[in-house]
Amino acid sequence: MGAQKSEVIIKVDGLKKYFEKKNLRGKVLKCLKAVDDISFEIYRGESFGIVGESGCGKSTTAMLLSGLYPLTAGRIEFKGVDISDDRNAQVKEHRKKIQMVFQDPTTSIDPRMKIRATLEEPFAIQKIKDMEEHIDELLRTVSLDKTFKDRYPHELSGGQKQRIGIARALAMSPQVIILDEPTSAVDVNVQAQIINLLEEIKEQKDLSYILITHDLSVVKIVCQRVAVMYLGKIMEQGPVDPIFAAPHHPYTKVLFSNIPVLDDVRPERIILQGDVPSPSNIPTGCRFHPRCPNAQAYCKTEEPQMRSTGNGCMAACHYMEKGTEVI
Amino acid sequence: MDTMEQLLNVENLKTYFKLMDSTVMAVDGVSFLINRGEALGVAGETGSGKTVTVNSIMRNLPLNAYVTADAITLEGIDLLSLSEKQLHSVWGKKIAMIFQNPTSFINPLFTIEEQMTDVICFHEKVKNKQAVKTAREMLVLVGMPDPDVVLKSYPFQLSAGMIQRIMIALSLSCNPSLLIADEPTTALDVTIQAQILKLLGDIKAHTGGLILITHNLAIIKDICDRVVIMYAGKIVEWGDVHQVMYLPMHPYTKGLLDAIPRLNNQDKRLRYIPGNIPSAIDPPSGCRFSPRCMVAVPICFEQEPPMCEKVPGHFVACYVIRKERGI
Amino acid sequence: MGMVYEIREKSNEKTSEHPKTKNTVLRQLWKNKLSFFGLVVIVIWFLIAIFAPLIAPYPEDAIASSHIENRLKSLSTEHWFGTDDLGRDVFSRVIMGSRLTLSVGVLAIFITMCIGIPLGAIAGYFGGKLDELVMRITDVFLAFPYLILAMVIAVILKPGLYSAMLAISLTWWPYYTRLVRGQALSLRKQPFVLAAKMMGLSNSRIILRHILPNCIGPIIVNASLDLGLIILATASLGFIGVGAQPPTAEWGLMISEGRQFFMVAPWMGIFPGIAIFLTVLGFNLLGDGLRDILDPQLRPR
Repeated sequence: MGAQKSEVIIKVDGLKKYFEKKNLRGKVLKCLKAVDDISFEIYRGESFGIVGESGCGKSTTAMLLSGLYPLTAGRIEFKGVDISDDRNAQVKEHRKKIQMVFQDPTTSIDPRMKIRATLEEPFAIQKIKDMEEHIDELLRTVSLDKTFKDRYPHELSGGQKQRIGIARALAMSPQVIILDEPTSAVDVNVQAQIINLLEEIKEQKDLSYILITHDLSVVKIVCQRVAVMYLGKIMEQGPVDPIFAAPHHPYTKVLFSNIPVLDDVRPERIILQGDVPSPSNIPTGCRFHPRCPNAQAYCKTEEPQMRSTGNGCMAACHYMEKGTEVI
Repeated sequence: MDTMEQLLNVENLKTYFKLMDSTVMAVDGVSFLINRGEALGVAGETGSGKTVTVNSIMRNLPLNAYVTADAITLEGIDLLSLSEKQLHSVWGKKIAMIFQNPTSFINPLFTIEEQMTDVICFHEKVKNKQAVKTAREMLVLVGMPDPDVVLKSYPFQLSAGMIQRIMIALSLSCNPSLLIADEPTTALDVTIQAQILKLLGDIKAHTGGLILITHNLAIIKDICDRVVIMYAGKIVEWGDVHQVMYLPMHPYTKGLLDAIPRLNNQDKRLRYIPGNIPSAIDPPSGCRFSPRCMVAVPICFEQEPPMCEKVPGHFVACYVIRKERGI
Repeated sequence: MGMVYEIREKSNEKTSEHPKTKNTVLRQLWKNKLSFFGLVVIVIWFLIAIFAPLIAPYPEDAIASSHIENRLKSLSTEHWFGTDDLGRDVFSRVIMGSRLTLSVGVLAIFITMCIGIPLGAIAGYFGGKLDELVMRITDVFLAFPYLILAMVIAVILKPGLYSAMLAISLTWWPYYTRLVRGQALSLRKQPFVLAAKMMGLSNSRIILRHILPNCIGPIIVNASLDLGLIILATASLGFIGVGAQPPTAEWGLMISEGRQFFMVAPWMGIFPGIAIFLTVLGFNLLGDGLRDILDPQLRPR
């Protein structure tokens, strides 16, 4: 469980992804900074959460980590090996050890293929024989009966399809699984089943998870460490318990106070004014300053750096309540 | 409670859809009432029939739907007996509805002003100038910054949160007696969701009554006075929101509440209800929940339990009632 | 609570999300009477085409023969559809002509799809410059009225039935390219395609296994509707004179030949015309029915 002394399995350094719209002459017309210089480390055996609202760049980060988007700048290391450039055949092999489970169960499996065919594919790629046995084993792991092999996706419920998605990811024998909002599209009861399933699998197979979500309560249950993103940057990151108990960054505080919870004890709700700004139009200085209840003059001009706030946590804010004064 | 004025009364509502070779009993005998000044939450998972219930009240259903009820009365008017034409004067004027995906319910081709005045002129029979004034007032009421700019804008220029506010403003513009909100914040970000929920709480005073449909029980706890828990087309429990949430009696309600991840939860495992939601074509005999119920006794499988008031103001349909404290 | 095994029996449980029971395409077609009628008509025509030499009383009339003494005779028991200007039995020629019409139609659509579908899939899947290139080429083709373009190509290839067929294929493929390209464009962003990429599946395998099978629905619908149009196009080319050449018993050509004699022997042109009408109608009805069945199922939720 505890991951402090474990090896670093994924290291992200200065990751950037810009979507640029150029005119015919190559001049940049519009630049959407989806991910704007983020860095973090994931230890082996832990679940790392990335939370934020729409436009924060968490989904783009997932795409970058999975190799589906090329990066604009920065590095991604997997077990110490630089996997940023995927034209290398060796890198391609390494990348196969990172798999993904997608948000929408309906579109994440080929509707025209039987479940058997969907699960055969990863084994065929790895040139593994005895596929039947492996598939049965996989289905057992995700608590589905063998009879599901001959079904079509439209015959399955959302939760069952999501399990197939998990099974397919497992078929590649990955070491890291990126979970992109794995339970957003299912009901709360199915969510509970899937979360429990994911926990069991993680322990059984010694996996590391990257959980992308907007649901903070799921993060609290599942993750050991978390990063809070806003408009392409990480605002605060660190172990889950200290951050949830005492968030330092104003945005984190706002997020925590805004989620509707059933618990009795909850912080006073901080309601922000205005909308989430667009990543193509990022505010100067600290990107949260237009909506920040603590914003000061210096927040408009300078981007804050990540500073340690104790307990292994870090936050990027000029004005932090723990008394770290700005220059 | 009975001294309050009754706003909407629904008795024994049944809605079924005729498919090619089967019939889907989406709602099978639902009764509830809402008093003036009250906010009623309708909670349930996908397939519980909550959306179909309110659409049946509005009679906004496809052609293959059949609705029967002993009574559906709004402020004394029998909604079932109204003709299509008469219904049009009820929709928007007496009952207004806002939906989950606000951008799908607004016409992208017309400005906000045009769309709002369309509705206002139709119902209130006023001149355009007056309608614009009313529209502006409503936008201010919902806390829209720069209402004049917004009025002249097209939907694509506005964010989802703003559009949802506009929908709320639009639905309030004709002073309806009843406002129905169907998953109004599910598609919105957490911070925007908090804004909209606060708004709905604030405007409770302006509408006669509010029905909030959602699968998120935490939201209901925040805003609603009473809650109805639906399962497989039936109501299993209803009553005062704090009673039902803290002292749930029905095993399904309890299971649902247990499955929700809590911030204060130290346990990493979530408890969930095994099995799946039953088929709406061929529902289980007896209590619909019996196949998945941990405490079912033989009679549960044979006869449907009647709704009874175990505690004043708190109704439940279950033969075996759990007396444990909730949460 | 431990893990829960979900034992599912084959036909017993149905989840609440999919109340539809298994419906084969045939069963659904049967429910739509008109399209089933279309299917029946087409099946009958195919049977006629297969057994044509046995059905036609004078099969040799379809190839080359002339019985001048019998010319322009009206409908009779020996000649159900009368005879034409060379004394040939119109009924036999219509029946034998069905072979040509149907085989040319099917071949033409086949060639069209062989050209159009792969181009569309590649353009849509890879996007970028490749997509631009393919799209501009299709734009050029689509800029011409197809019949005129087909005429020109048929003339270049030397007028004849198979030239006509080739000409039609070469003008028709852009429609399929566009169709498939649109589908491929949206499919390539779907999570199940991304998942295949992450597993390391090569692009060609992804296109073959995931993209193309998911395009089949609209392709089938289009193909069945297009067969009718292609038959009309073949007949049109024949009518103009750049398609089938005399003495071939091609329906379009027969109508053209019948034009001169319309006042004295209208049956020469009418019966081939009715044959064309019935065939095209059959394909249209079938195509409409298929569209109603296949489209809603394939629409992603």
